[in-house]
Amino acid sequence: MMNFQERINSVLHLHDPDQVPFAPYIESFPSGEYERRLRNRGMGLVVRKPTIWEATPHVTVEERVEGDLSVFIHHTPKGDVRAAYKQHAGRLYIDEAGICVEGLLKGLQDYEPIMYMIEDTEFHVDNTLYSDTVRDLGADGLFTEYGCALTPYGHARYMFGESSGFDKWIFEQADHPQEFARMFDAIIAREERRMQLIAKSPAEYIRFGDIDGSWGPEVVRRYDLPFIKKWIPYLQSMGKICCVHAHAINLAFFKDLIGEMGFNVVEAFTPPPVGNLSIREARAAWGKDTIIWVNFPETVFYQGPQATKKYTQELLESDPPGNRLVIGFTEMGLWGASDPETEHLFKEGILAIADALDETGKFPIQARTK
Amino acid sequence: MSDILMEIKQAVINGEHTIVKEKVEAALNQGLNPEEILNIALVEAMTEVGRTFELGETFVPEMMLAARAMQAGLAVLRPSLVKVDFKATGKVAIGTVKGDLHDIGKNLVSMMLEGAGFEVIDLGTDVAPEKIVAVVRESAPDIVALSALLTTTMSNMKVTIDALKTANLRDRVKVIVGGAPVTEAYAQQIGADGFSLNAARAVNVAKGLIGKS
Repeated sequence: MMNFQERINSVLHLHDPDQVPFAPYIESFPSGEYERRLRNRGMGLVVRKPTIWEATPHVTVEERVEGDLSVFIHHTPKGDVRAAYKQHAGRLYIDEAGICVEGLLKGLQDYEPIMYMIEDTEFHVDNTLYSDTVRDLGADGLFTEYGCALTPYGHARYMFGESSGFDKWIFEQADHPQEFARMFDAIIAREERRMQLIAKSPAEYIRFGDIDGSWGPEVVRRYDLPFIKKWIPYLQSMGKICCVHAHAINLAFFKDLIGEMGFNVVEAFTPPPVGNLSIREARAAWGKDTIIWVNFPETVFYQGPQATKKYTQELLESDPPGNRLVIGFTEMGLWGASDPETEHLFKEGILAIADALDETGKFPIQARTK
Repeated sequence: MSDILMEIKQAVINGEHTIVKEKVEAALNQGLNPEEILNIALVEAMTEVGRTFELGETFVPEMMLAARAMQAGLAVLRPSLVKVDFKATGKVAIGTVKGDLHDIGKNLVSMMLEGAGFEVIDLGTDVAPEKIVAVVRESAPDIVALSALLTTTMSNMKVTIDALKTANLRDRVKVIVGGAPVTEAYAQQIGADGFSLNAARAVNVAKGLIGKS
């Protein structure tokens, strides 16, 4: 029987594992008795950390608290911009950080200081976190390079904040296309510098970018695909295994685009009934060697543990022989289940996944006959 | 359809809010019936945007730009609609459930409903069941629309429906649920009246529930 590291590496290196790995983000489970129970059943820990750090040496940041908001004011020679984060968001957010309710970019006046911040950005490499994490995990986990989690367009999006800045982000592109384009070009130049360092990261497994599903494939083709087509083959030539975080629930509309991108791993893949693309359809589109890393749709838990087990078994049997498949949680997992009833339901459901993996997830998985 | 109505419709689809505003003003000045401008140009434009959204031909940005354009036209049109005693299609109270701060989906549904002639009471995000109960009691909406993005907060949809039952208000209002992790099976399980897979479908579901489809 393989340990977790052997199992996940077998999949990532296109060999045959002994069974489909159960590999959620480490943040999906609060540490403790329940998490240990799952780890005793083979669950691994997926840790996302950067080896690249950034600083803006000529920008000073002032932090203050306004009610339940943490406010950050960035003072640049070109003017000030501010962002605000709502605190006390409870367990809603995996990283326990506050949620951004006011992004840096709110209007025309903010472009110049933001352009300055982008161009002032300096990167430096510190591999301590990598070596410490890899040492601590031993055979129990996988280190994911998280220093390039966003594409250039993703960075442009988050200049406007999270959910609250989404409409502003859309309207700015329509209302001030030249300013947006200038900022985007500056982001590209900055990200080119970042990627050169990522290529030298000691981490083998690299997460780069996401498919959100809010904006369409043609927009991704226009803004991000050229960058992806330049850097993903380069990273792969440097021995990296590259993954895209494809958490869109309308992934069927992005099926061809993802095929063009050339990633080794498509993670956060959320199958029906939540997503609109089945593993079978994805496999047919992306070929036998693309690793599909499933984000288990927690909605299934509400149907009870027996239904969850049956669902998982059918999921496994839909992708025989199962040597390019990983089951995990990339969005929520148990995190955020604040009421006892939901928590119980989710815990039972996750144990049902472990049961299904034990019974049906052994390599080679047989195709479902009916 | 007259040329100007076609131009308004196309401008809404293209997300050209300043053009829509100008054209609606021009249409009113030409003496066109405001209800005709609303139903033939604005509502039909949003219906078309909803149709292409369903097909994966347009996405959230195009829909939001169209909704902004539609609202620009509606703002010009509203005083004229009041004068002709225009009746809204129905009244919807909408919010993201307690514990969830996400609002993109909720806002899209809200805009699409407005675009279809509904009066919308937007309760925002992190809406407690007690607040929903109070709004149903005080404002008598035809429909309560509940949104959730997180699998771990969608259980508050059931809590809200149960609160309406406890307050003896459940039979006074229809409840629609939606959001990324929500499925039709879940909607049925918790006793919702309707489920919408996306913002485009929400309009038809809402109309169906109040007999206006």
